[in-house]
This record gives sequence, structure tokens and C-alpha cells, in this order.
Amino acid sequence: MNELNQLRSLLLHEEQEKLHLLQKELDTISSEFRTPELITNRLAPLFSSILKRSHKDNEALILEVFSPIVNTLIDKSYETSQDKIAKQIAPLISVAIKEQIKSQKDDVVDALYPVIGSMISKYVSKSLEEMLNSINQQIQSGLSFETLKRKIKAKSKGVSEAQLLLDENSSAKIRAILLIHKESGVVLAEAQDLHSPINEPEMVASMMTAIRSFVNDWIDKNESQSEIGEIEYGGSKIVIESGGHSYLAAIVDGPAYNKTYEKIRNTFETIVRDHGDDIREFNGDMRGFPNKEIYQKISLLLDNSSKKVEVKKLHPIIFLIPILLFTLFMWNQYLSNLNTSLKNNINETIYKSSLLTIYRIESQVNNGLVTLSGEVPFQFHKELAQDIIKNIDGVKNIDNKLIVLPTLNNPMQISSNLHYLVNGLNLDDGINITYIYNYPSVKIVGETWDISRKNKVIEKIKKIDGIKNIIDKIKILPPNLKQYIYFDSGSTEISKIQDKSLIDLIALLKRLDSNITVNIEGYSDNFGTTEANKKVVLDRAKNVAAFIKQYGSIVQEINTVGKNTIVDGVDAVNEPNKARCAIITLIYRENNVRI
Amino acid sequence: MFAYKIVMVGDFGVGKTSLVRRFVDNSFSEDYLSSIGVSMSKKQLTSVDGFNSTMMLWDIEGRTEYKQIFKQYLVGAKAFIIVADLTRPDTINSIDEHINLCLDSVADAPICIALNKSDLELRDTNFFDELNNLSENIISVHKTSAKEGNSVNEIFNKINNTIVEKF
Repeated sequence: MNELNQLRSLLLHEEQEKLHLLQKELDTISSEFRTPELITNRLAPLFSSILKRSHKDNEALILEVFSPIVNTLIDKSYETSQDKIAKQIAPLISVAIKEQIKSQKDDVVDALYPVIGSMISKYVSKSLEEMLNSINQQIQSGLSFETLKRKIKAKSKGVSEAQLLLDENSSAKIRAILLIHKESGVVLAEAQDLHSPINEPEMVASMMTAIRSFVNDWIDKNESQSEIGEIEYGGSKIVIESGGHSYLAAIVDGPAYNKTYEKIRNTFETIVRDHGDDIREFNGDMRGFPNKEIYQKISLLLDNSSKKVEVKKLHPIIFLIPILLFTLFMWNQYLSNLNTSLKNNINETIYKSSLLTIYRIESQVNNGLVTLSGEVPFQFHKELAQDIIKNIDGVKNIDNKLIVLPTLNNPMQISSNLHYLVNGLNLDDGINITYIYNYPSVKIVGETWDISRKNKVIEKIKKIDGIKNIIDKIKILPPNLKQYIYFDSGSTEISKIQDKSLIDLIALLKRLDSNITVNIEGYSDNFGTTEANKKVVLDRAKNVAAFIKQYGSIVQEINTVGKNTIVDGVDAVNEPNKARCAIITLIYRENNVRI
Repeated sequence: MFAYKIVMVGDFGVGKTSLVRRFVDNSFSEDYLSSIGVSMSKKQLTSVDGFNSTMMLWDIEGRTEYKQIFKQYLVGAKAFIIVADLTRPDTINSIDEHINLCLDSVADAPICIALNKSDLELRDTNFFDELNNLSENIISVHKTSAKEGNSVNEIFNKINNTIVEKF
């Protein structure tokens, strides 16, 4: 046995030593295994390398292994230290939201809309309630007939006065509602009031989308995250409620109140909540798009108007009819009095205007509307009449029906024509007239030498247009002639010196008509016998007559008289040559009666 | 039933408005062009497959040296018609820029190119291929004349058929 051991020692000495060392190493390891601290120290440096390697080789497996552990850890950590986690995550939330809004703004808007919309609604309702209370207090402290009426109504209906006030005033009427695709402007659904539909809703939607882009682009550059909310035009407005991928445009006639906005907002909230996905996915294909369901929702916004009409129909207005009729009668009486008074005023004003007095201008008055009728010669008169009455108190409007008749002569023109004509006529010897013009008549006064001149005057004046009546006050007054023809003592012959005077007289007589009589009286110086003188004076007159007849074929009759007296005013003793004469005068015979 | 928006793009004075006027049923006053830079028109169309469409045409103010195209108006378009004036080479040269602008707003939109005023330019144009190669989105290039009506209906029908097919 020893031998065997010796042999073993000889042959396996080296191996036995190694084995011994191995045993020693194993004991050390065994003892280390029983000491966890030592194992930890050994494995710790390798742990990260192992994980990295395993993750690289089989990622899924590692995730599978670690997920439950990590989840449990997080859950446990969340339960035990919520405050700590909240503090750690808080700074990240705002950054995360900002980032999300930046990249997926529309999705964020759609997600938040239902929540924020309700929140705003609640806030607005609360504010409105406070406002109502404030109004109520004010109303209770005021006192007037209106307040009293409202108080009774409120009591009978069992609602607050402020509510009544708001209800009375909130007559907003939604005429049309369009749900519009935000990017393309395509109408996704529409509802319209059939009594007053809008033309071309697609065009309106596109235009509105363009306007939104235009305005929002500007807003974006100035204030972030704001959008256009309302477009007003005349008494109407377009209320715009925007979501992420669509917006609701409500065309509202009349003022819109909180109730209106609230209704529109609630409806849009419902649409976004129920059909948000369909709207987001919309690409132009209307097939399968739930526009009918959306129509049912938005058409409810139109209902209030029809209800109001029904209420109105039931109103017992019939009791008011007698009062209305009486009021109407009294009103008419009042208007009639006003009309008469105004008409008198207008007629007086027109009459007082010297340029219009002569025309017959009629006026009719009806509740401030003045109708002028009649005829005037020029547009000037038509405008003048309108001008002078337009500032009279009570004249609201003028219907100027005055007819301009160019044939109707202007009195100014007639007067002017008369002036020129009369001046012209007066240039003629033997005419000396003037006129008194009183539209449409003219009175002619003055004198002419004879009838033919007078007739000429009348004929000429008749030719002036516009003169309706001529009042002839022209006297016939022959030339105021007293021609002396002197004779030598005892002679009846006409001396040569006197010829010229007589020839001038003949020339004058030729220009006169036959109604003039030439009267020739012969005189003497009273020397000699009376008998002889009687013959001399008659001969002197006759000789003058004979001379006139001999040298001129005149139409007038000649009357010769022998005056056996001295000419008035002549001293026959000292100036006998002046007493020996014949005196020629002219006399007018009216109606051919001889003198 | 389809409803979509298409936008007319091009330099100032190339005849976009005249092309639209030749084609549409109804349009808003062109005064809007000078106020907010866009005028709307509507056309009801039937595709070769028998589908009805409502095409809303946005005729936007042409680009000038001093005023660029308002990009917001391009958003949401289903297709673009880029118009150039055959008699003005500078308007043809800027087609490339317009294509980039359109595709920047709507990446996959089909584009038709209308070389307008063909009644004034009688020379043969040999740059069709070159234009076609500017972008994969170009579906066709037409020589049009708003004055004589040449190819006007074709270009809009082409756009409509392409859009309807895509659905």
C-alpha cells in the first residue's frame, strides 16, 4: 500500500500538487460564495457589461424580463413618493405641451376642446349669474312706468326681471350654420333658415376660410395662439368657433347674446366629440362622411326663430285694434291740420316771390310731402319755386311737378320787348307813348298825332308774344301847330317870304291822316272899314287854303274862317304888320264829326 | 360626391383669372383679388367614372417682384394649376419655384401646368418634356388660350379625374 502510495507520489507528484492547489482554490471560492459581500464585489464590475451584451443579443428578451420589474418599481415608487415624482416631472410638463402644440397643434386643440369649452361655459354662466344679480338690484331700486310693467310681468311669469330683460332683448336669429373644413374651406355640413337662405354657401365658406387665413396670419405674427372669432357686417355677424381641423361659422342676424354663443359653442363641442375623427380624416370624399348626423345637430340651432313666431301668433292683439283705429283717426286729423297750415304757408311764400307771383303754381301737402304743379316758362322758375319753399318748417320732401313750357313767355322778356318796341315807336314823329305792364296785360298811355299812328302802335304791340290783353289809353293829339302867315297892308296875297312856311306845313299834313282838319283863321289890322275888313280876313284865310290845296294834294279837310278882330296879344296900333295875318291850326275830329 | 379645393398659382398677369372666368359656373367679384388677394369660384363637374364633384377654385393674386404668394392660401388644396405666359419666358422660368412652393404646402398634390396665351405665341414649343421632368407630381402640361378657350376645359377635367381616381 505504501509502495502504491510511493509509486503514486513518484508518478503523480506534479498532479497532486496541482490538485492540492485546486482544492485550496475551491475552498477559497466556497468560502467566498458563503460571503455575499465578496460575490457582490466580484460581480459588480461585470454587471453593466453583461446587460449591454444581453441587450445587444436579444433585446426583446431583456425588455420582457425587466418590464414587470420596472413597472412594479415605478408603481411602488409612485405610491410611496408621489410628491417627489410630481416635483421632478413638473418642469417637463410645460415643455412637453409646448412641444406637442408646436408639432401637433390641431390634435391638441381637438383633445382639449371639450374640456376647455365646458370650463369656459361654466365660467361664463357664473359671470352671467353675478351680472343678473347686479342688474336685479339696480332694477329694484329704480321706479318708472316701464319698471312697474316689467315687475308685474316678472311676478306673473315667476322669473326675475333681469332674466326677462335679457330674454326680451336676446332676439338673435341664426340664419345659417356651416361646418367648414379648416384647411380646404370645403363645407362639411350646413343648415339654413329656409325663409332667408344664403346664396352659394360653398363660396361663402371658401371666402371665409381665406379671410380667416389672412387675418390669422397677421394675428400669428403679432400674438400667438389667437384666432379670429367674429366678423361683423351691417346688422349681422358671423360667429366663428374654431377647432383643430374644422370650424363652425354661424351667420347671426341681429345682436348675439351670451346664450347664442353658448349654444353655438355647445353644438360645436358635441360635433368635435362625436365626429372629430371623421373630420380629421376628411380628404374631400363626402361618401361615408356623417354630414347628415352633423346636420341634425346644427339644425337645432335654427329652431328658436320658429318658436318665437308661434308665440307671436297667439298674442291677443285684437283688443288693441279699436285703440289703434282711434289713434289713427286722431293722427289723421292732426296731419290734416298740419297739411293745411303748411299749404297756406307755402302758397304765401310763392306769392310773395315777385318772380313767381304771376304764375299759377298749385301746391298739395301730404305729411310733409309737398307736390308743386302748374306751368312756368323756364327751368329757373321751377327751381326757384323749389328753393324758396324747401326751408319752410314742416317741408320734408318736395315733388316738383311744375311743367316748364318754353312757349310760355317770360314776363321779364315780355317787359323787355315792350321796352324796346315802345322806345322804337317813340322815335317816330307823332308818337309819344309809354306802357304799364301787368302780366299778362299791358296798358298803353300817351298820345299820337293821328289814328293811323295809334293803330300802328297797337298792331306792333300785339305782335309781342305773351301779351294777352292790351288796354288802349292812347289819346289822339295832332301836332300842336299855330302857324302865322303875314300879309301886307290891305293885301290878301301870300308873299314869297311866306311860301316856305306853307310848304313845310304841307309836308307835315301829308304825313297825317284824314281825321285831322286844317283850321285857317284870317285876321286884319283893323284899319279901314269893317265891311272891307270882313272880306279881307276871309280872303286871307281862303287864299292860304287855296295855296295849300294848290301845292299839295292833301287828304285833310280845310276849314276857313274870317275873324274881324285883332289877334289876341297883338298891339295893332304899334305892330300892325303882326295883326295882318292868317293863323293855321290842326284839329282832331273824333268819329269824323266836323267841328 | 366629392368636394375639394384647387389653387391657381402663377406670376402676375399670366391669365389665371381669365382661365377661371372661361371655365366656371359662378364666382365672387374679382375685387376681392385686390383686397385680400384671392377670388373664389365654383364648378360642378362629373368625372369619367360618373362621380359628381364640387371644385372650389382659389384664384390667388399673381406673384410680382414686390409681392410673394401668400402661402396660407395653398394649404388644404387637392391639386394646383400653375399658369405661365407663353409670351413671357420669365414666367415660364419661375414654374420651378412655384412647384416647390406648392409641394411645400401639400407634398403629394398633383400639378397641371397651363402655358397660357397660346393664341399669341404661334412658335412650336419644345420644352414640354423639360417641364414634365421638373417634378413627379406634374400630371400634364397644356398650351391654353383663355381668349379662344383652347384646352381650358381639358385641363380642369384632367385635374378632376386625377383627384377622383385618387379617392
